[in-house]
Amino acid sequence: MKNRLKVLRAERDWSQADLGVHLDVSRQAVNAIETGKHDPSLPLAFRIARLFDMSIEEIFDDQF
Amino acid sequence: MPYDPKAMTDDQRTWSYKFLWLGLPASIMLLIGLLIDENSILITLSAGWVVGFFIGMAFVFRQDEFVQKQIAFAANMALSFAGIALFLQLPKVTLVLGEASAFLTDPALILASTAVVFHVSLAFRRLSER
Repeated sequence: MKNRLKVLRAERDWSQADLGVHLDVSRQAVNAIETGKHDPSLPLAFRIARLFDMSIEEIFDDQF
Repeated sequence: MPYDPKAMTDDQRTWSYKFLWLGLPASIMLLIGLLIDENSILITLSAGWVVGFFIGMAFVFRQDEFVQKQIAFAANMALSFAGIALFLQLPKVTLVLGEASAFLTDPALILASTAVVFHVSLAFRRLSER
């Protein structure tokens, strides 16, 4: 699933490990989500949306 | 997100993620040890890793969902292999297989093979999701 996670993370100058700490997941999980190899669960998607103060649809796009 | 005093730190997560790799050589060593020499020190050492790893699976819920998903994939493959091994234990099947069934019905070899299937599947999944 395509997403804007990498862009949002870069805007805040966070590393994947930094974002992982904020979301309580591993750096590997952040990398897999960014590259579209892992679709986050609904609770994790909500955590991501809350962290960036956006809606899930603004971050993730399932049309691709 | 509620505070969890037992939550893993980033370093602990990274360390445990890398630690998972050790299961692959250990399980292969165990299988080779069982095939070559049942009294080998190789078996004692590798069995320690493999057994400890599988017992540790009881605490897999402490890992994040990405790692849990990879482990679930490997567990599915190992269970499928166990199902095939169980099928081969059926009396009529062992009759058809003849002497080849000796290998297929040795519990230690089947368990070690199941461990290899688990770790190979886990390695495959991890490499494909890099």
